[in-house]
Amino acid sequence: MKTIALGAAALCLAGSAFAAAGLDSRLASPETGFTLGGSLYRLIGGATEAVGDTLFLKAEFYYHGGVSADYENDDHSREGLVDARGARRAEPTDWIERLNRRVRAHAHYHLKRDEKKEMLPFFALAVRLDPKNVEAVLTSAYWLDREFKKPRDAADVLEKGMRDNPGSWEIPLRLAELRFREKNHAAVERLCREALGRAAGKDAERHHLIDLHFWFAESLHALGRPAEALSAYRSALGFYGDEEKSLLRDRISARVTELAPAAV
Amino acid sequence: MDLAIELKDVTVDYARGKRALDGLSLSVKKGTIFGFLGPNGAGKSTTVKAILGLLRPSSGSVRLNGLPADDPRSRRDVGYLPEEAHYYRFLTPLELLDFYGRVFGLSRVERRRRSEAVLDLVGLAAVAKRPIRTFSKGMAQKIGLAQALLNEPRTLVLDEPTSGLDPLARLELRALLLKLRSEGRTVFFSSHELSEVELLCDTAAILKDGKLLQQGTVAELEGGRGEESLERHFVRLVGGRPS
Amino acid sequence: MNAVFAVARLLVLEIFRKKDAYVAFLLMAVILVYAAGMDFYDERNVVRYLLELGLSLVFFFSVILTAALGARQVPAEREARTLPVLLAKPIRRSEFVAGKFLGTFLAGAAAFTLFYGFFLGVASFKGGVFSAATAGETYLAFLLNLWVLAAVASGLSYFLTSSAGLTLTVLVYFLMNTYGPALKAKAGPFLYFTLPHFEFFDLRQRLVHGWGGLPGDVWAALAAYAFLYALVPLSLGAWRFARENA
Repeated sequence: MKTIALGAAALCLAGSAFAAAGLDSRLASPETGFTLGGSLYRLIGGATEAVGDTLFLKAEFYYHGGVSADYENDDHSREGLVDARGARRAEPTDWIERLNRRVRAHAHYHLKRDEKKEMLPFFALAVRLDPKNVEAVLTSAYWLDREFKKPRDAADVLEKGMRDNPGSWEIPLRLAELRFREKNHAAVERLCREALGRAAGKDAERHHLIDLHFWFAESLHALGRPAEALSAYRSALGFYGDEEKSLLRDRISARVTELAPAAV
Repeated sequence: MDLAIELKDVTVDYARGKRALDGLSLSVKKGTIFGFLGPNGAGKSTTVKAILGLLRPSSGSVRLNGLPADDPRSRRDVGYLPEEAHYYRFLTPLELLDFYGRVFGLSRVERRRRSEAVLDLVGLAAVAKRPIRTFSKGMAQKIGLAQALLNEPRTLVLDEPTSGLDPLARLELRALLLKLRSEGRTVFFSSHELSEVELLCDTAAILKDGKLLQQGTVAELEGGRGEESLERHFVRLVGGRPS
Repeated sequence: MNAVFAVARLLVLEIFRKKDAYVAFLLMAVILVYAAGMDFYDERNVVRYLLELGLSLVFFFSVILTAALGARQVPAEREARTLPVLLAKPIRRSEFVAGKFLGTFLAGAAAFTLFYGFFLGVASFKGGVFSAATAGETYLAFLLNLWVLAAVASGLSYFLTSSAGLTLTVLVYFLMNTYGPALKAKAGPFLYFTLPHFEFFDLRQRLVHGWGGLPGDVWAALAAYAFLYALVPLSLGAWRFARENA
């Protein structure tokens, strides 16, 4: 009887572990994600999102070497945690706390170079299990693209994220940026239109809107549609204040100057 | 000292005010077979437990082989067969005896020798390596006897040993007990079976409601009222109607 | 001492005869091997997730097996009526208590060693690079953990039924591992200072994230805590058992 009970408990754990681990050898392939998600949903229901969210937080935990970094302004040079104001973490109040501090690592640490790949499983699983977590999608894609130099995988994550989150304008924005670097102008145009449509009426941040219009304009320009490009450039300029200076503004202004006579 | 077992004014009170033994005094000489009789609930099993140190009397003293019963050394030369015993079902008879042999402090060679000898004696040699969980009730009783004899005890304490045995097995057991007595060992057994007591015992005692009614030789127990049989004497003492 | 070791040996036999350990091992092995086969964006030697998952499984199953074994000992002996036969032998009650505890610990440690060895093999095969010294320390620390766990489960078995004892032991274990350091603030000093701080012996963070081993004085403190704390539930169990009729 006890063997059966133990086996049942272990099966439940196995099921959860499988769910948490995302037991699918084709994890890198977003196309099968929903199939797995369906199976997992049948197994642990809405807990998939919770597990996914936990795994996303786990990635940050791993980034800090398994230490819970609650302190945003830590002094990175020292063992122990000192915030930017110089206040030390409180001294242990009893021998139990003192011993725990000695057993647990507490130093602030970031993964270096090759170590960062250790976060990959959690990014992969987080977006699998909680596809509606826009932050997880964006962060995973960012790390895949910028840190791990895997733009194709990042694009796959963003493509799927776009389908799973029809209300998110940030995802097509990031994908547009990626495609922009690839000089895939047709895709950039499509994605920028998508992002602009989704952002309408929403409280999007100014610099994102500037980027969006800029890439939209550049792609239209590359596709040989100067009038539309000019309109987009002018839209981008419209977000700057009169006295505001930036390299991007200068670049946009140069484009407007270049295109204005041709458009006429 | 020629007493194997000695109880002096032993009282055992259980919870909720139940008195199981009430000032019980009895003694068992070495090298004899002692029968302990009483109806159900008389306190026979409680007496056996007190002798073996399995419970602590509320008052009085119990000595086993000259030592206080709660001293584990008193049980070094004692074998015990409970009325209904169960043994670790995941073990084989050899493993069970090996385990008890270790508790007795026997060497590996000695454990092996004695285990094989007692298994042979009780007729379980052929199944020595079969798990006990596959055994029948009769075979389990034999295991019980084997473990009781493992340490070649000077004193054997048996609680209803013939319970559940077929007539042939009872004959074998009777022969064994007589043999043990001839070797100078002491046997103390509680029983319902008056015929067994009549056949085997040198002395006997009759218990009722935790009190000792009578102790003596079987002849004394029978002869005190002429040619009355032990059964009639017993029934009259414990308050039943003789047939 | 013969009796103590004889009783302890019986428990080691029991854990492997009764199949529980094999069921746990099989489940753990299946999960680990499958997890080890997972690929993440074609990146090689991604292994920390496996270390963490593997250690969690090894710890979990070892805790359950050890607690279950310890918690059922005395209730099972009472129910099966094997106790009077054993206590009618020349064994002290204290030897019985010591033997049950030692056997629980040794049996749990044997199962844990098997699981841990398999886990290290899988992790190494996956290409995991981790400190052998820290792996050794993680192993030893968890043995101390099992020492305390065995004492708690064994001690409770003199007071509770096997399921109640198991439930309470496992509950305390996971409670302390999750909230141990914060228990004083959450539940007050009494529980904080009386419940066993199992989190002391959890070196997973150090092994998984490469933080290295512990200094000698911390080891001394952990060992002292484990050995001294274990005496508490065992003494209580022995006290209770000494007053019990078999």
